[in-house]
Amino acid sequence: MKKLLQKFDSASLSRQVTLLFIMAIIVVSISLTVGLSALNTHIAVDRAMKEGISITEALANNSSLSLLLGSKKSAQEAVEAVLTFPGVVQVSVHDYTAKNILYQYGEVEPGLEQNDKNIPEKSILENENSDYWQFTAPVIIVSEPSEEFILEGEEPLLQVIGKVKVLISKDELKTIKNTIIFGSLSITAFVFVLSFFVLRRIIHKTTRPFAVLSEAMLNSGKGMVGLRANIKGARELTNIAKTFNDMMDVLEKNENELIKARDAALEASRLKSEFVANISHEIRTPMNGILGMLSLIDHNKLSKEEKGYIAIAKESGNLLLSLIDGILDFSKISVGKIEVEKIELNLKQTLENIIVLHSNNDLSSNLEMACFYDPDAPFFVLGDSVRLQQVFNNLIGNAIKFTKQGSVNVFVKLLEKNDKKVTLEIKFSDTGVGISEEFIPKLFDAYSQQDGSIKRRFGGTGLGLAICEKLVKLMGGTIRVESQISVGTDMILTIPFEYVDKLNDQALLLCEKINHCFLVSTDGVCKSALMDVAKQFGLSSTWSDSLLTFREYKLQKTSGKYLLVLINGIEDVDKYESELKYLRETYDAIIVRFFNPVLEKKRLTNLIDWHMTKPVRSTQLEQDLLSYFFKNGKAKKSKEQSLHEECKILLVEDNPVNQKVAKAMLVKAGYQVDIAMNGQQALDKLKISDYDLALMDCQMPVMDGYVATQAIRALPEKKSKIPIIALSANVSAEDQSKCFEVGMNGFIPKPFTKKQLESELKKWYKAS
Amino acid sequence: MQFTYKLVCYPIAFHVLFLSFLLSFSSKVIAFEGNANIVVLYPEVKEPYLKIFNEAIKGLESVSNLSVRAKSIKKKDNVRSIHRFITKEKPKAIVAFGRRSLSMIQGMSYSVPIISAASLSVFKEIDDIVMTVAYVPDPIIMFELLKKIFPEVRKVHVVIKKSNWDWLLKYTADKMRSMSLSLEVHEANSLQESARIYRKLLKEIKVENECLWLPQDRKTIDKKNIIPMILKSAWNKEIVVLSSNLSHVDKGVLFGMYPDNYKMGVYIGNKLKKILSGNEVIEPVQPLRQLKSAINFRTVKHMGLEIKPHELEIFDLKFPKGTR
Repeated sequence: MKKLLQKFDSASLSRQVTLLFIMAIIVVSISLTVGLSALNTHIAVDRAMKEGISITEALANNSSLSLLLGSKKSAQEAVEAVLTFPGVVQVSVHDYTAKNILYQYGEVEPGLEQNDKNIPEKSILENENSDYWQFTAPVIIVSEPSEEFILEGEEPLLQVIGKVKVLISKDELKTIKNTIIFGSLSITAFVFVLSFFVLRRIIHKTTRPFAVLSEAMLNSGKGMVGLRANIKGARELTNIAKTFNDMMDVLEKNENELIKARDAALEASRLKSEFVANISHEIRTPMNGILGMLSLIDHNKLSKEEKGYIAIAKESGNLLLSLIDGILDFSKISVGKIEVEKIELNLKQTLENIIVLHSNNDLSSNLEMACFYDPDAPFFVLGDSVRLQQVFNNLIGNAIKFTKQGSVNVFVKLLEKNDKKVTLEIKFSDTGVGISEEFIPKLFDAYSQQDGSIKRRFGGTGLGLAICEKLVKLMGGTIRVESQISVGTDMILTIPFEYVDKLNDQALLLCEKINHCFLVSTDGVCKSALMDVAKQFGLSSTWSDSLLTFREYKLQKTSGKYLLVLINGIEDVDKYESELKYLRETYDAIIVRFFNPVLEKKRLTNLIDWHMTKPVRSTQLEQDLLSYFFKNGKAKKSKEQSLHEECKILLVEDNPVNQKVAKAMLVKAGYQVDIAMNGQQALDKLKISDYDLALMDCQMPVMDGYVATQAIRALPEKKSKIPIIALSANVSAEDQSKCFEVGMNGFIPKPFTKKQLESELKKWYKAS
Repeated sequence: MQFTYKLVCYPIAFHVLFLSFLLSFSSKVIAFEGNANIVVLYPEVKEPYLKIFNEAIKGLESVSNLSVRAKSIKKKDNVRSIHRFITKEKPKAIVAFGRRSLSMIQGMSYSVPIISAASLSVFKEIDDIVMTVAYVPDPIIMFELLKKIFPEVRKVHVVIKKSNWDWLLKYTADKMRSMSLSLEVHEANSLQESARIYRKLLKEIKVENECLWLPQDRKTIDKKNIIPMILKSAWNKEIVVLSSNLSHVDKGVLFGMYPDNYKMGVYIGNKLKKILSGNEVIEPVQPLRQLKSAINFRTVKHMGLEIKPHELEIFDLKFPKGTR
């Protein structure tokens, strides 16, 4: 029933109305048929009964003489007259006086009671069944009134001398009934069919304008333009059509205006993007020259004063570059030009590297820095490494900038995890100057800083946090701040990631080799960092603030396994020489010391296996331990060094300044360098000489880097496989993608540092 | 002078006294010599039956010295109301037409002579009835007319319930002796008996000299069955049939006689005068002799009867209607 109703609701108006009318006609027809049939049948029955009574009365009248005379012949004559009526089956004439049946024709119907004793007062239906009626009538002799009766005041004399019975069959009645029903049905059916066709035509004609209007609306909804409903019909319909047409006029007019506005906006956006791209390239190119040259000069022998000037110039240049980058980034984000990637990255390592980078830049401040990573949180996630680093850099940079003493730590906590996704909370916590409560709401507004004094004291454009907020939002996350003046600030990111469920096999390997960790640290932050390291490796640990108490712990020696001793922050480490000797003699110990190279020196290098610069980085320690156990680390370094001298690099760069900068960096790093002015020259040189790697500028005359790369990849097999690293001032994701699409292997944005260059080159050596 | 006055007045006074004395003993005579107050009671009926009483009353009124006060007896009337009427009128005699009129004065004693008329039967319950004129045509008059039409007739058959018509049969039988005519009475107590007797009679009757008389007896005759049977046989067999019922003549009976109501009224009026004069009633129960006659010419022609024109003129009604 529900399905039928649903089908009905979804049918067209014409069909619905037709169906409703058909149902109405059917109901009316059936009602009329039934009613009329019943009525006609009732009339037929009534008539048949009246006829029966009339026949019986007539027989009674005609039988009076026969009963008076007692004449069977006379009775027979009367009966024969009655037998001419259809349906008369049995007739009998009863003599009241003689108390017998004077004459009878036909058989008595069994089942119909015979009441021969009583004589009715008038003609009645004495009995009936489904097939017969039995009527009976008295035979009364009436002495009718004449003059003498009037005079005597007497009523007519009635004498009952007998009765007659007539049995009449209902066959004819049944035939009549069937005829009535069949006739009614036939007429009904005919009327129904006729009505159906007539109504259908009328309904179709009446509802056609609706269909036309509906079609026009549907087509308009699909986007067709210029459609108007042109219908004739009822006034309401024509009004609807007129209103629809007017509405379409307005809509199309508005649409045209919107299209024009959209096109104008798109054009403006395109011009803006173009401007941003051009400006980015135009600014970066000379900046590359400036910073590159400063970098080269810095490697020369300079006086302290000169080094100081260079440092200031470099810093200013970097600041200018970061300022430009920030403005351009903000602009791109505002116009929606930035897209975040999803590439597998080691989040822990990324955070530790950034901490290392900033700590190396600020080792003199003696700020404690560490990364604490929730052991339940996965290392490998899918994310935009560049943008994440941008955010992390900004936040750590700010934390360090506003913290003179104490610590700057990063805490990663797992908030939520399911099959494919995790939500991580990454908190950048410092013990700096803090942020006032009134300023917190404006913290992420562009170009805003707490007050003028902050700007004077700490500098900055006020774009960094605005960019961070937008980037985090693009990643689907949130950023918030909790801060107290003179206590410190927590910058809290909450970001969802898809994660890669990789087992940390290397940690398991360490567990096979190492039995226990003994941690020595006087500093609370470092203590936590070391304990976190032990946890990351899945190792049990014991902490002490002094190496002197080591023996008190009576740690068990396990054969075939090492004791890992991690020492932090011991100023006068020489005091513990005997303890260290004890360790060496008693246990198979690996002793690693974390130190600040600016404030501390490497000490007791014969007893300590190796030193690591702070902050504590579990990933680096892990790599170093693995190298210790499974590779010869020292041999590896020398191998790297010899490779540099043999490597021949083709530098494809049209700008003379950039040529000089890059060549100088490469030569200082120990590489052989050959220069091509454009892509065509590069191709020609490659055809005749062999190179190990090509550094390719993208924007060049004659043949740009993209075309040159494609041409190189088309060369014979050996030459085509040369690693090609892009050098480009166009740092957008699209530009980077384009580089990889044409066949380049890596990307170094301009301006680049020596370290960046070397790091990228090392990667390709490692790969080869 | 005084002596002369006495001589003249005294005899006159004596005669007046004497006559008064005589009158006091013969109030009837004195009364008769004025208009006698007669109350006539008759049942309230509709036309054409009302005509019977109206004509009879006219007949009564036409008789001199009778002051007729007629009262129709309505449905609402009862013995008491009629009694009040009669008491108020103080009639010398009462004429009661029909049994209903008689029932209204039954049980009351008015000490005046009562004549019962226009009734089929004799009302024996009232002692003061001095004469009954039954509304039954005198058969003798019918038979006398029969003799003129059908001279060969010797026997008249009649089927009748004797107990109802004993007085009439006796009267008829007595009178018929002198007419060379015999009456054969067939008794029937019901229509069925009557029907069977008629059937047999119609088979056996000798048409040459016998005829059939249909009396006013609803116990033995009915219009719907027996009359048609009789008429059919009579027609087929040319049986002479006469009837005391006018409607039978219309149906095909040869002839019949019916009351002349006016003359009946006159007769009753005259009789009343005689009764009031002190004459004795000789025939306390008598059939109606004030009659008219009707004949069916079609039947006459069918039966081949020869009736002289002057004889035909005596018939008051001729059937079929329009026949002259």
